[in-house]
Parts: sequence; structure tokens; C-alpha cells
Amino acid sequence: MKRAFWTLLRLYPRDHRDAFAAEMLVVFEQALEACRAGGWAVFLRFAMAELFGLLIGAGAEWTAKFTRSADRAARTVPEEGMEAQRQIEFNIRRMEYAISHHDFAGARFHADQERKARERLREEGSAADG
Amino acid sequence: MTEPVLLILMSLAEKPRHGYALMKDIESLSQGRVRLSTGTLYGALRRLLAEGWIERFEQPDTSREKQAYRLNLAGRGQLRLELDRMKQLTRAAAARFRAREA
Repeated sequence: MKRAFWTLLRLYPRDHRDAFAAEMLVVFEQALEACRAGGWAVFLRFAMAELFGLLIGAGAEWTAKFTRSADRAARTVPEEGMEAQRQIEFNIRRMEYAISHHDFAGARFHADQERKARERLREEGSAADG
Repeated sequence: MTEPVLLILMSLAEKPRHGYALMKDIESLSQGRVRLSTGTLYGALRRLLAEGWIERFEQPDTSREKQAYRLNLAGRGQLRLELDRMKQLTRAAAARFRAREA
């Protein structure tokens, strides 16, 4: 079962495997140990869920990799990107303040501004890569 | 916001957790209704890391899982907004049921 899990993990993109594969295997082993006591029906349900979870997860990761590379935003941040980062931090603080004062309309506004600033930051990262 | 994402944020709102602890707490939070597979859990964690709502850090002195996750300020704000949105929906639904029964 562990070998099958490790084999299926190879379906994931390289960067995802590098970041999470070892950790995912540890979690899988712990979940497997826990379900062994439940009998064959429990084990079978667990195995099917894990199999389909990995297949669907790998597909989703490849789709995310090609449609939006969020990792680029963390690499180089030119001047415009620094401004976007400041906007993100500013809007997070304003959102927290608004929530603590029960101003949920204001909080939603700042959450929207924060999302737009993150998108600008990602675009800056993509432009830097050329 | 999807249900797995919401449940992860709710779980981390209480305290930082590693992957397996998240899986078990989410099952407990949903009263057994939601059991995330490893692939689904780590897909959601990767997206939350990319969104900047959670942080990953290394736990010292653990025998198995060293990587753990915690909610940051942005993630806490997003969770509160989502819970507020759900509260408003619940109130609106309850009001409609009462009006219908009246």
C-alpha cells in the first residue's frame, strides 16, 4: 500500500513533490495505521479515498501549475511589486481593524483590495520572469 | 470558499497543527461527515500557502511530523469574513422559514 502511494505521488509536479511528498507519506502512514483496526470495509474505503484523492489532486496541481504559478510571486519583486506588498500588508491591518470594530462592509472592502494587490504581485512576478 | 478550506482554517484558528492532526480535527469538527484524503488535504494546504493565509514551520522535538501549519493575520481575517457571511445567510434562511410557517 505504501509503495502504491509513493508511486502515485510521482504523478504530481516536481515542485509539489519536493515540497510535500515526504510529509504526505508520513500522514498517509499514520492514517493507514489508524484505519487498520477498523476491518476490511474501513480499509477498503480508506484505500479508495486515498487513490482517488491522489489522482484528482495530481490533476489539480498540474492544472494550477499551468494556469497560475503562484510561486513566481515569491521570487523576484521589483519596485512595483514592493508597492503591491505594502498594499497587501496595509489592507490586512485595515481588515483586522474593521473586523474588530464590527465593520464587516469595510472589512470586505479591504479584503477585496488585498486580493487585487496579491494579483498585481503575481503579475509582477510573471513579468519579471518574462 | 470550499468546505475543506473553511475546515482547515477553522482547525488552525484554534492552534497550529501538522497534517495528520489537521485531518483528525477536521473529521471531528464535521462530526465524521468530512474525511479528507491526503491528496485533498495537501492540495488545499498548498493553495492556502500560495494565498498567504497560512504559514508552514518546523516543529522542534517531534519524532515523526516536523512540518506544521499555522493561521496568520490574513487567514484569520478571511475566516472571520466567511463566518460572518455564513451567519448572515443562516439568519436570512431562518427568517424565511419563519415567514413561511407563519
